[in-house]
Amino acid sequence: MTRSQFALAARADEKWVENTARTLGHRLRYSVDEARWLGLVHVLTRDLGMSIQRASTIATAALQLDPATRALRLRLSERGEASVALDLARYHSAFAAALSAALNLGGPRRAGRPTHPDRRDDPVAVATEHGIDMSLVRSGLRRTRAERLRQLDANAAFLRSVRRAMPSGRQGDVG
Amino acid sequence: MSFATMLQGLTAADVRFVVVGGVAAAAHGSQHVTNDLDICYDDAADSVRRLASLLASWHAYPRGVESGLPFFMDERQFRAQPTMTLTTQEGDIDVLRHVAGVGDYTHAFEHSIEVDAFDVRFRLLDLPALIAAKRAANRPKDLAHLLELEALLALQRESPGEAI
Repeated sequence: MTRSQFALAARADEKWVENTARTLGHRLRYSVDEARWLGLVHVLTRDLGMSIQRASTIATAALQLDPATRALRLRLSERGEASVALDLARYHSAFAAALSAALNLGGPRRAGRPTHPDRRDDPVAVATEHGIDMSLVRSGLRRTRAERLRQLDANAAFLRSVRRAMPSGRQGDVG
Repeated sequence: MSFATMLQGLTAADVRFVVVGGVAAAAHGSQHVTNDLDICYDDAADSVRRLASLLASWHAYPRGVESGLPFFMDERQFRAQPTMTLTTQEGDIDVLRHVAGVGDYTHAFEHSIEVDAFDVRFRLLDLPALIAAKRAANRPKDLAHLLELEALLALQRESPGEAI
């Protein structure tokens, strides 16, 4: 995971991640388990106002428990008068969704600002120079939108069938 | 498992959404093949409830994540994580509350067109908005897509009367 993917998975901003790791004297390896742990530290500090150290201890212990745990009691006062329940299963659910989005959408960005095409350039010529087969594109434009979508659906189904037929280790080679 | 069944399901469930990403690009003439449907959804409570219920009936689960973790597909999940990349029995679907370079559902709707396909009517992002989204994403893998979309827009402007 990149640093930004890690922060997305933990649902915290990158600065908070860095500062918290530094406070805890923790050297980040940007692993999934670490993101799950730091994400829970973030929830406990943000929503319950716990200190980072206490949240870290509780998060470490909570993540040893059955992920399906619905109501983990956390004592808020020394004598136990005040406590809250942590829905650990809900946390795992939200973390799984955040991790998935981070891995699928939070990939590397190109350095610098987004490019804007040079207005003097012909976009069709630029696309052709970059190896895009514009004759294929023009040919596709003879179809209606509905026909193009049907073609896409058929192509995607074909790719899925090829992926299924390939040994699992080589599935990334297609598409 | 197909875009057709997913779009038919979303429409039948009365979910308010705009198709964005690769499927919208293909409708505009892109030759790239995508395997997932990306939608920008209306985050009003009634529509989110219907979307969550539909995704739950499709056994949605976060894509690329170890299986077997607790996963709840309901409105609370959408509040906790408004952008999700999911695998379902009907195919892969990305649900986005916000599209970089475009905005939320209201903005996506303003920059969308209506299409009839797969026996249903739905909306998809127009070509200039798709280009804005690709530019804002600024990912290396999107460069070829961006150049193709810009070429498509140039062709569209050359022949504005044609249904491209």
